[in-house]
Amino acid sequence: MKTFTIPSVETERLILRAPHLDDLPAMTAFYATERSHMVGGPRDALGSWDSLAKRLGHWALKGFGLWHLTEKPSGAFIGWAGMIDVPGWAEPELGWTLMEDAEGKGLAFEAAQAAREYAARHQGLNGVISYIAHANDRSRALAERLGATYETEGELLGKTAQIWRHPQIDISKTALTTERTGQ
Amino acid sequence: MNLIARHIPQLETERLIMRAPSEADLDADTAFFASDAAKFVGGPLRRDETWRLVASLLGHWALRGYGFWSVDEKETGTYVGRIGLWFPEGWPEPEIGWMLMNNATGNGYATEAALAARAHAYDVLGWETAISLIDLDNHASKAVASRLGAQFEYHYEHPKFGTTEIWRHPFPGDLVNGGMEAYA
Repeated sequence: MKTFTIPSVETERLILRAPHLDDLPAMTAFYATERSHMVGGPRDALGSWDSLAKRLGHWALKGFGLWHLTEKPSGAFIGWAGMIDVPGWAEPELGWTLMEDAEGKGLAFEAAQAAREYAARHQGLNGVISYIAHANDRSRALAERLGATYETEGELLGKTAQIWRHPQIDISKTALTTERTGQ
Repeated sequence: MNLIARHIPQLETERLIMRAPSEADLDADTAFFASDAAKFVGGPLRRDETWRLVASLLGHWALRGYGFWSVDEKETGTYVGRIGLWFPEGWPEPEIGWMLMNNATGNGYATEAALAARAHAYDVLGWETAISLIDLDNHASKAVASRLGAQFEYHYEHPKFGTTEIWRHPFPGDLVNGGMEAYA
């Protein structure tokens, strides 16, 4: 028998939880848009399914991965954030993507901060990088707000991208987020 | 902790162990997916693509509650291929699939493991029917389907892989009344 677990993390306005099959229609819609071009898109329905399956398999293989983000209290699925380490990555990466409707409220910051902190405390990943596409100004601004600094030019899956380095989290201090139990 | 993955049950046949896919299979898988035989099952793939495939196999278990097993030869522990139950986006209905490493063909392993996978689908999961998608030119795979009692039913146009053959397996009731499992 083999199992793997995906923890849930709760912030002030968000729940970071395991990707679900119910999220697939929203993922498929997202990957059909121009917006997805800087985060691996566009993808068709097959590619979106594949992406969802791989996110779950990433948790199984690595013990960490992307959470899907839901907004409290509606439970609306608004994006994803978490740690990615696939062959081709220089090292584990903190990544985030927000659906268009959820923008402008600081939710990506809240999610990325929670994911970064969880990774540092529980997944042995501290002082991590983020890959940022050159044209992705919004994501670069978020990296700056998170305290990350530009480190070098990198390459990801044949495309150049900037590598930003996050600060080390002091894990001796009390956590900002709550790990949910029994869900 | 939020437990999400279904248990991946381990199955055992006369000569084989069917277990959860693992990163440990990656070397063998990468060699297979670089070979000509992989053209029938979505290849060729690079090593990093093969890693992603293993991730998607595990993710399929989480999403559907069933999926591909990695199959080991009981006597030697050698990894010989993947056999299992597969229903991703783009498939017309759930299928029984098989893929043997190049040095493991010719022993009846695909048939043996597919029988166990089919029994799991019918007896444990309650499937009422099962198909297999087979490439038009994959004659070895069609021979396995025939040995399993499956029959060609129609051509299916897959959005990515093109025209494939759909083979229909015997229904559960047909197997109970003297089907292959009855003699296994």
